[in-house]
Amino acid sequence: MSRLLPRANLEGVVAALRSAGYRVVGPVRRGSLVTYDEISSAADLALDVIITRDSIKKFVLPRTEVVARFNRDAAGKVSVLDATAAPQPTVILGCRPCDAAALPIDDLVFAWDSTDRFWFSRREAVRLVTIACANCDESCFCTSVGGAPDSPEGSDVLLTETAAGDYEVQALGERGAELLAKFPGLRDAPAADRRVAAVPQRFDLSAAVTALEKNFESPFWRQTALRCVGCGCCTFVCPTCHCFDLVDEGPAYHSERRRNWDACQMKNFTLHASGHNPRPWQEHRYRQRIMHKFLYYPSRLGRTLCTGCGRCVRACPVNLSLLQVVSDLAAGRANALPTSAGEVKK
Amino acid sequence: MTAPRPADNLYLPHLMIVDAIRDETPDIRTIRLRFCDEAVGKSFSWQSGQFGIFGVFGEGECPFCIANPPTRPGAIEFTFKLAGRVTRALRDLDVGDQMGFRGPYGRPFPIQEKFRGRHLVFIGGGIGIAPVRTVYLECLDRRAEFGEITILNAARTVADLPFAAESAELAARKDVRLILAVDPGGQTPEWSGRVGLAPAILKELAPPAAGAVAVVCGPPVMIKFTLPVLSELEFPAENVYTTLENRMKCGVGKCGRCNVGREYVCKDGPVFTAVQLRGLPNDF
Repeated sequence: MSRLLPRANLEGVVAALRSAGYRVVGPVRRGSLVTYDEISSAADLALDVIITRDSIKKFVLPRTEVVARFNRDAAGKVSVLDATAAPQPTVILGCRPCDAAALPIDDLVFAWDSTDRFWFSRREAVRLVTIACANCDESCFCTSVGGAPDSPEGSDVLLTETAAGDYEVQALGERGAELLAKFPGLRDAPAADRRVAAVPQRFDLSAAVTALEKNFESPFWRQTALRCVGCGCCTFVCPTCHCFDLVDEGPAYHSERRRNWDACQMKNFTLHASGHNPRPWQEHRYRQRIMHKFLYYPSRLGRTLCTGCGRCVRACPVNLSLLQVVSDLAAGRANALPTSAGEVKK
Repeated sequence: MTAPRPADNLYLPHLMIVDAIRDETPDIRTIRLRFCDEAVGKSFSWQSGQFGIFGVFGEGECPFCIANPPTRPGAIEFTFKLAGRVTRALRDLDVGDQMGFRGPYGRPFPIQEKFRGRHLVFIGGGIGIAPVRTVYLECLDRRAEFGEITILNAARTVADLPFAAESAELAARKDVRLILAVDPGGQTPEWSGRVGLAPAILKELAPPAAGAVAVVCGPPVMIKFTLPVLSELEFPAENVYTTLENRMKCGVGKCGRCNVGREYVCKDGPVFTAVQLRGLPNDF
């Protein structure tokens, strides 16, 4: 036996969650884009799409947020004001497993020896009702980085579509059980056939990691990154990319310190005030992104910084596919290149 | 703000007051700060080599090493060179103005564990002398615990040599060997110090490596050519220390920009040994 949510009851779930005080967000269609946004009815949900353009990251790490305020009074005295994030309780309905899995991975860096309150206070306020993927496309590669189209990791409630189009319901942890208790119209039903995508394994992760360890200096990076335009969109759509900038904005008598999304693909990311740049060329910046995700982060914090959602593959304006690059690395294509050629002098 | 600042906002600076300003060169300045909240100031502790994030409200923040060693408490000093937006704003501050400070961050020099009982060789180039000076000031304050102390302070020109008054005092001391050097063409007719680049002068000085520790900091090109000289002089790489810098935002390992390979300058550094440097990829 399993717990079943009839598809027709999704509307009741949205209403129940909203009346319980939650902001409910889910995948919605905005012209040709499908993005996570607030919904008022289950009819707003675009559940037929494989994946949204942007990830759920924005609900936990907003594009911009105030971390401190500075006020200067008439006498010129400054007061430093703590910015208190009061995040709205939010349920993400129709989250994907590759998005849900990103949060526990990023928890590691935001708790690394010191706790980032802004991340964790939003994290506390967000509940994930994930729908397992019934379909995938050629950019999906969750199974290559330890995920699965029906992985419960990071979710509070996991819905898995049945052959009849209803949802088998699984609560995860106390938070999940609490949330599920608010779902109306659940019933017990015999276990039915589940519709779960078969995401092929696209590369051997450990072979890719081994290749990265050996190929910091390799013409592979120049060959690969030559067409990268450094727009950074791969990092912005990524559910695990978390690098940020801290900048002061506003007039000197009433300024804010803001945390904004930043991207390692941009030249200014590492540019020193002296003019020295440790990563002067795009190949260095592209290499940093791949190394950080597949070598540095796992070696420091124990997890690969990628869930295989494939958004960076789909969004790249020059079709520079991370999936292809990591597959090439795993297949040993970087090793085969002569290491003496093509070195860039800083 | 009487209680310690809320530990859970990592990005909230201490409010500081500019207590004194000292020009070291035309573009290098030292600012001394005190905590607005005296209780925080009294309980604040740090070690030589650690850095802080110093900020001007409305302009932004920059990482600099804490320039005064813990043997000279009661204030927070930092020495900086005019380079960009924040350092311009820092130069606009007057005594009595307020600014922000977060820290201390990073790992210090292992003075207690690795420097005691040894001869010490300090090499600084340009503004790179600032973090080196913090260490030698501490060692001079604890003079009896160390062997011979040699300091090489190199700059482009005579006018660019920071800490001139302090250097004059050091030069008069019998228990320190101070060598001042300027690049060829940077000397004046009255110049009595050396003329040449730091690596070449170090080679001439040839300080004995036995039982010695070297601390080097300067522009990347100086470090690049100085490390091989130390190696020729048979300084074991584990006894050679440097302090790296990188563009930084958070200072606590979150913002993801100061890493060199797997190492984060803010958490694993800024102090590294030459052994550790050798293990880093060419990404700094």
